[in-house]
Amino acid sequence: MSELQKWASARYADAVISAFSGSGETANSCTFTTSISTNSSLSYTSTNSSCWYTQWSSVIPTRALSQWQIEGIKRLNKVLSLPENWDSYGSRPPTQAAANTAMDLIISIDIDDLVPLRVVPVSGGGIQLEWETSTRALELEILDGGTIEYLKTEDGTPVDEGHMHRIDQVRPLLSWLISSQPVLIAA
Amino acid sequence: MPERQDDPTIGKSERLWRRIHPFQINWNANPPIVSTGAFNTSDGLSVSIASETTLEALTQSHPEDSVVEFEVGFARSLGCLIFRDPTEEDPAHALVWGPKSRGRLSKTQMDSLRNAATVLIYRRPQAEN
Amino acid sequence: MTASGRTLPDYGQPPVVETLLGVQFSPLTKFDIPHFGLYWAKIREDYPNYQVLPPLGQVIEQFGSERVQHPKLGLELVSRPEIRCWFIEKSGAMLTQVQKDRFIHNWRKQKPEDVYVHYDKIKPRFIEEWKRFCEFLVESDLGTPEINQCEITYVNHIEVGHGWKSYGELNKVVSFWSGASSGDFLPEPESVNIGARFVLPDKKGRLHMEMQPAIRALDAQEILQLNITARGKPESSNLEKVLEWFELGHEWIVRGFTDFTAKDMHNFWRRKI
Repeated sequence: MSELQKWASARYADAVISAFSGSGETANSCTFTTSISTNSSLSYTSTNSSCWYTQWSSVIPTRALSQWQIEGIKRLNKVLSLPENWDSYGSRPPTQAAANTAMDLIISIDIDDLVPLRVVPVSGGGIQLEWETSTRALELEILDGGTIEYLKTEDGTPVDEGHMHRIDQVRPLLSWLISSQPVLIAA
Repeated sequence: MPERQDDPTIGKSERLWRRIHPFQINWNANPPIVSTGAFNTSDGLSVSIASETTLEALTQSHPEDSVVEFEVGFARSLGCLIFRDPTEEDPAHALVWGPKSRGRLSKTQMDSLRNAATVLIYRRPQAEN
Repeated sequence: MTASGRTLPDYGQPPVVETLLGVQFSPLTKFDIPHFGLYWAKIREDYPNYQVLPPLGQVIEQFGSERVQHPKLGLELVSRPEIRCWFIEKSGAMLTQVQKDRFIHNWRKQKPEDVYVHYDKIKPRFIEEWKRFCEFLVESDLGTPEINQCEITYVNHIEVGHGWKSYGELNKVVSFWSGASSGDFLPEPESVNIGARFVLPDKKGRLHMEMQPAIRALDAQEILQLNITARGKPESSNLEKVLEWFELGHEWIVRGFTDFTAKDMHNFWRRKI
């Protein structure tokens, strides 16, 4: 894309946000999800440019989230409330870096209908996100520094593990997970 | 850091116990399933040598935790080292040392241990995660 | 009135997590990208960090025949990017936002347990930074801002489970919400969004109340975010008139917050006046 085209598309996106921001008099009642960014690169950090446009504090309106995301974030909140030595073996609570990555991961997933998410604390300050279908399971371990490792399991047997270097790499993992679910065809 | 060595005085049929926080168990499953996250630690996986302690001593100060058990021989078969690490609170304390950085187990090892472990005590929380 | 002369409602632990004061002005046509850097050089010792974001649109409170009835959707091709810069104060608690037609100063809590910084302490910081910005504009021959709007916003995070448990108890939070219904068919709501607008005296602006369920990114806490914004046109661009408008806006926000929220929560927030 030429530079002119890039900025035209950025400006268009900005105009769309303004147009949907209320009745034309004020721009405060923004109803757009915060994942839309007018920057040239979409990234999860766009949630910082919150719906309340002059606002600095970062929030995610729940109407921008699927039910599984809301429930998952509630569980994350409980895990983040754990005290020092929560595991009885001297572990610190989940770190802010792990918490930030976990939150960014959960809200970055644009699949509405996903199996419930489990959020598990990991000794040493990490967090593990887990999804499970009847035959497959996916674990994303977020280490205390915010890096991510994954494990795929099929019929109880590990089939693949590795590192995720970017948050958008979660999509193919989730596609693998849900492709094991039966597809219902209307009669 | 000194190289860790397996302790042959801990016999293969010896059982190892580990406390599990309620947030690390999926209580919606029947029976409840322990997460692999419960076997994920750095600086070795803390356990207690069953023959050198009691369940009461293990859980006395941690009444909300469940307890799992697995055999030394199984952990060794996965490639882990087992050695004593007595503490003031727990003279029977030992460590299961994995091949990764700072004694972490690989994900496959964690998964295998989780599948092989038996839950001796379930302590279901009031409000579940 | 207290010994300090305060007459506005006051709370020991208000739910406010962020306060901002801002002015909007006609675009400074000569203000361009290099000027962000030159301005930053002037303030860098106090604001060592920055972030670049898309600009905010112009927003003007309009009344009567001036009112725009329908949302505007426009496609505009631009040959050079427009940006907004955030300059973040070294403590991480203060922020100055600059673009060619806006100047905004924010304070925020960095952790939920941080103490609320009163408006009386935030206003002087805004004045200081605004004067510094205007000096820079004069020094760089970029013109004098013609202010067309002032804005104050208070961002409140009303945490679910702290003083109220669910949307079935929303009447404990919002005095405007009775929770009553004509029958008994509907269950308790899963979520509630509220938006309200009030006109300031002599049409000096509007007070906007916007309340929506949200998740706080910092700690994944479920909250009701209540944003209260006063916006309007000061009598002139003169600093004295701008501050006069801010006093009006501040009063409307504080009294409006107290009227809008319920007495149960006033006790929870430890109302002092």
